[in-house]
Amino acid sequence: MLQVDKLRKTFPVGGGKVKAVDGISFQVPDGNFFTLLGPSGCGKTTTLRCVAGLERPEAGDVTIGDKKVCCTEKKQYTPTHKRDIGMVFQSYAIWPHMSVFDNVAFPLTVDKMGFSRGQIKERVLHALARVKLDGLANRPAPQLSGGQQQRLALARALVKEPRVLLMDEPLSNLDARLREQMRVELGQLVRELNITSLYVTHDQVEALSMSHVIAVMDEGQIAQIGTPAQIYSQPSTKFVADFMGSTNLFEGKALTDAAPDTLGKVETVLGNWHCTLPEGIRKGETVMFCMRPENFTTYRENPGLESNVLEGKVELATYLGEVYDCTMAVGERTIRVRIHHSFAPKPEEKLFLWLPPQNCSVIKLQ
Amino acid sequence: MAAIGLQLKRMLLAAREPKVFFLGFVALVVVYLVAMPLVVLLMGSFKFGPLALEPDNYVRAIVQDREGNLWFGTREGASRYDGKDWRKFTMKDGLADDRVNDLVEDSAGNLWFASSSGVTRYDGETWLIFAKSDGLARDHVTSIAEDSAGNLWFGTRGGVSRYDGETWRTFTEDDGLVDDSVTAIALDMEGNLWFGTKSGVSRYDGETWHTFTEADGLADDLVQAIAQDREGHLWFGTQEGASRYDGETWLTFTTEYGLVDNDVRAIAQDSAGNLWFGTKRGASRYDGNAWLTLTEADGLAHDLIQAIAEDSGGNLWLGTSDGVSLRDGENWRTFLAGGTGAGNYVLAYSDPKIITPLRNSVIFAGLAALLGFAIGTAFAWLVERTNVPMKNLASAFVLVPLIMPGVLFAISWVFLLSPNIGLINVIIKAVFGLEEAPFNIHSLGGMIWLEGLVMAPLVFILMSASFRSMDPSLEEAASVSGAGILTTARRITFKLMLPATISVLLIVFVRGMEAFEIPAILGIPSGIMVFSTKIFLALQQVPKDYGLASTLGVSMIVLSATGVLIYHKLTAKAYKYATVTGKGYRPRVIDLGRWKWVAAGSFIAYFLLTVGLPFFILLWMSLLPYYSVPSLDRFAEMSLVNYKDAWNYPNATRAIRNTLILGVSAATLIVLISAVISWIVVRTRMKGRQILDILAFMPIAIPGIVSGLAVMWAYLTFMDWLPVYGTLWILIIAYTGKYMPYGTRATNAGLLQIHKELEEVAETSGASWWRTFTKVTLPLLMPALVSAWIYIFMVSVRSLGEAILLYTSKSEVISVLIYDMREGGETNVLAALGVMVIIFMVAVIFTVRALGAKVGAQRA
Repeated sequence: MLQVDKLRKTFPVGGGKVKAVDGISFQVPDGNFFTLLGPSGCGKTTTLRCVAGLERPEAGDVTIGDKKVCCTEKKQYTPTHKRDIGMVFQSYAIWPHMSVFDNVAFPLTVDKMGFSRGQIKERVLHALARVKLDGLANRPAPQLSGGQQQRLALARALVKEPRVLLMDEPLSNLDARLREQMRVELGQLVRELNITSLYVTHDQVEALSMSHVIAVMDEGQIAQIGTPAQIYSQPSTKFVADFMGSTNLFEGKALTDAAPDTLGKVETVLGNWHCTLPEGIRKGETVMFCMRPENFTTYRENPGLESNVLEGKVELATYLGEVYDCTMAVGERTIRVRIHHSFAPKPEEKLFLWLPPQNCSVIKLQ
Repeated sequence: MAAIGLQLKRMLLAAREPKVFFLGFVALVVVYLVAMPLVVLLMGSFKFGPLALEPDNYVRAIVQDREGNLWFGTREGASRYDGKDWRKFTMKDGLADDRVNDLVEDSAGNLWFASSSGVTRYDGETWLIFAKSDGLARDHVTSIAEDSAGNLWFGTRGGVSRYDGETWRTFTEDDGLVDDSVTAIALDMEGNLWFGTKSGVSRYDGETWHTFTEADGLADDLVQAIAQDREGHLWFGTQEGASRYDGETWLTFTTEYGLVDNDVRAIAQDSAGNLWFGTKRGASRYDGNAWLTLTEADGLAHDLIQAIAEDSGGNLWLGTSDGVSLRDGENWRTFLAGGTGAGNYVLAYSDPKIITPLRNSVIFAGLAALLGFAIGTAFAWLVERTNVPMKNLASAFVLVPLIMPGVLFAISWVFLLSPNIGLINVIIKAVFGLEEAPFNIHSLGGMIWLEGLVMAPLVFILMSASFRSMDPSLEEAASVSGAGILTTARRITFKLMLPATISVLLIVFVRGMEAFEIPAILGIPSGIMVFSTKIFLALQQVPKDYGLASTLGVSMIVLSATGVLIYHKLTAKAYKYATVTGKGYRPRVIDLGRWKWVAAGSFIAYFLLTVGLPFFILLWMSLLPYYSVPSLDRFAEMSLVNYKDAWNYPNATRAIRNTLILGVSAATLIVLISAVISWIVVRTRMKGRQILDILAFMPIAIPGIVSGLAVMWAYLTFMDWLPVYGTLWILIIAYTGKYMPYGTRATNAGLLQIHKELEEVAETSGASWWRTFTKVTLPLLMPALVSAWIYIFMVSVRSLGEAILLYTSKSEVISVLIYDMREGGETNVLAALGVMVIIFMVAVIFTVRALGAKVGAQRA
């Protein structure tokens, strides 16, 4: 288990200070894949580096397994090299003066682990095979391609079989296709090994596809923690909704109290909506109502449904291959809607949009 | 041929385009500035002898004429040396034969050359040959002498011939000569003529003949040389030793007495009264008591000595079978025949005395490089990787010493650490009650200490860059892999920094090899020579030894160029190492804890050592009428009179003006040329652009003094139609060539950072190339140009090496003026001038910086 408690870290910038991490806490159960997701500068990398011991926080504790590796109150810090971790850097940090084999063997040779040469060789080759780099062991490391370097960095981080694997935007330096492929492979590998992982990224696809739990970070704080599905479909703040791609946000008023297993009702400028209300919302409270562009069902004729239907006019339809990205005028407002290419919307066309209640999300305003 | 013609035509057609013409022209200027002097120097080092003695090295006779010229008779003609130039005379000029056996000047000032084909008389204008047909006994003449009546006597293989200016008379065995084969003739104080032959000696007093042989006490009947000493004793050189005849008794000196060899070929007495014997195995000096032996091991050109003469200056010349040796104080200098070949190199490196400067140079450069590297790297690490307080101030403390002119720095340290008057020595002696001064700056150690301090800023700049360019996650990855600080340092940091480390070490080593100011100020007075000072001295002595200088110069270039080549290779490899992420690195800052104050203190200490103390001692000296150790009672004597004197010092204002013109012109020319060169190298696909790049970088391997020498030679020989020698122009030309690398390196890097599209957009907007270059490229390059300009200005004001060989009184610059003042002992006025120069430099640099910042702000 990895546990972070009330972590705080500031950096001096110019004359003043910037709160990079502002008192965040989270837990990663054994074997879980935990992702810190957020835009650049949100403090996710700093958090990871504090876990690694590469930065020293001003406040807060870090526990790896049953060992407290950082306790600011008692000023006890376990140095990085004594923490049971493996880490993949954004730049891969492949040592250019070593061969592929030596890069991977390094963690086994520094810690007086007492491995014999044969054992080291066996483990290194096994680690390389796991990342499909077998056969390249004797290459000088700088001769590898970007994707190969990325795998090498992963092999090096895993060879010691650490308790926690830390990954700092490991895929961000790869081109789009390779990134997708590596994302799938990395996800598989981590799941197979069942290793506790802390993953930092700004890419929501990576976060959604690989994680057990995602923490979305904003300005040094965790905006929302949840499963990928929760984060995606039930953003708890405007920031999360925006960051996760909900572009149609409207202020509204709750017409009912929130109740479990019951649909509530929200009033907006676009009409009233049946939807699930998050816990704690009272009737009459002002809320934020989100509609994801891809969640609409489109009709040319009025489907005749009671609620959750909009009538709009296509202003602009941009063909993106799989879908059309449309800007639609609804009354005085415009919303973005994604429509399947087979539907082939035309400009100036009048359409009916249905948003099922389970696909609406309502954000409680703080 | 047709293909070449076509190529040429294409090139000429291309050159009609103004852009290509302009670029080509600037490229040619660089080739001219950098390559031409080097080629001249290289050719010169092979071509000119070390003051070429022509035409042959086998010297049989030496004589000084009444005008002071030295004449040398050799097997291939005669050579005349006027103290500066050599001229050779052969049969083409009018000699009867190129094989000159003997030569004398008669009382009328005519030179007579004895040869195997008669004698030749030279009156300074015309040559006249006398042979058997004119009345000479034989054509084979071995020796010549003039008697007190002005008659000339010629020893031949067939008797002696006397010539009174009109008639000839021959004396043979029939007249009383012991043997017709005459080998030597001498006139004694009483007017008797002595003839050495193969069978003894004959004396002729004008009327009667008297013969001396082995039977009388002569060492051997075959007489090779005759001379009379001041006491009137006659000395005869034979193959069995030297015999002395005092008018009554004979005494023979052999190796048993101390003579180096019994085969005595030449005898002469010097003005100090010492007798010199030239033998087959060296020279012997006899002062009446003791014998001293001199051989090749002592520096003679060769052991077989055939001729000995002392010139009017009291210098002894020895003619050997392999060149002439000139005694120059305690040393011997050799003159060899000129020609083309590696002769200079063989000569320079066969001289055992070259080993010392070579060794000194390597030790000096090596240890100074290590010291400078240690200081500079430590400071770079502290600034880049630790939490040492006030980093900006600390960096400034390391970089400010760059402003201090090397000459001033060295001189000020003489007043801090010289054994007698050095302030630090005096204080330590007083505090610890020592008898002896603990430090002596006039030593190799002292020189290394100062040079190391001077090198540190350069190391600091280079190593800071390499600390900055190293991705810290490489170290962090090791940490995460379980490696502690030491393991990480050993297996990752050190290994990754190794190429950079070696290349920086090489660069500072090269700088150490070329260092001139400190070895000149500290080494020359104490006789500790390095290559650069050796070159300087070779050109300071009379006659100037261009051969030695150029040979050593070329050797230095080879040494430095090797270093620079390895540097290039290593840095290329280092680039391969660089794993770029495109993200700004924010390295982890190492907390030094309480040690950070110690670290901060080390910056202050360095600043004190390089600027604080030197400036203080200069300031102190500048206020006093004469130097004395600082104390309170001296305050009464303080005045600004030295500043007045410095300002009114002859040439001082001119030197300042010259320095300014030189610094500003060189810096401006270089940055402008560099911008164009970099544009060619970075932006075009022009043929040979890589060569241009290397060429522009090459001067970094050329020591300042060698570059001065090369330029001097170029404009004294090959380019002598361009009257720049002796003017400030030649200094500007030399400096522009020498400091070109500092310009191109800055502009190369600068241009690489300016996106090509910024220029392309100007061209698509309709701007011509020239307009784009001047309105877009140059303004964008401005920050690089300004910093390069400042650096070049600083080094050209600081440096002494190039200027010292090229200046004349008209084109004197500050560094040379200070050096001369120091030679003249005017240290207090010098100090005042130095203080003014330093303040002035600081002012200039701050002004330019401020202007540069303005330009930079406009850009942003």
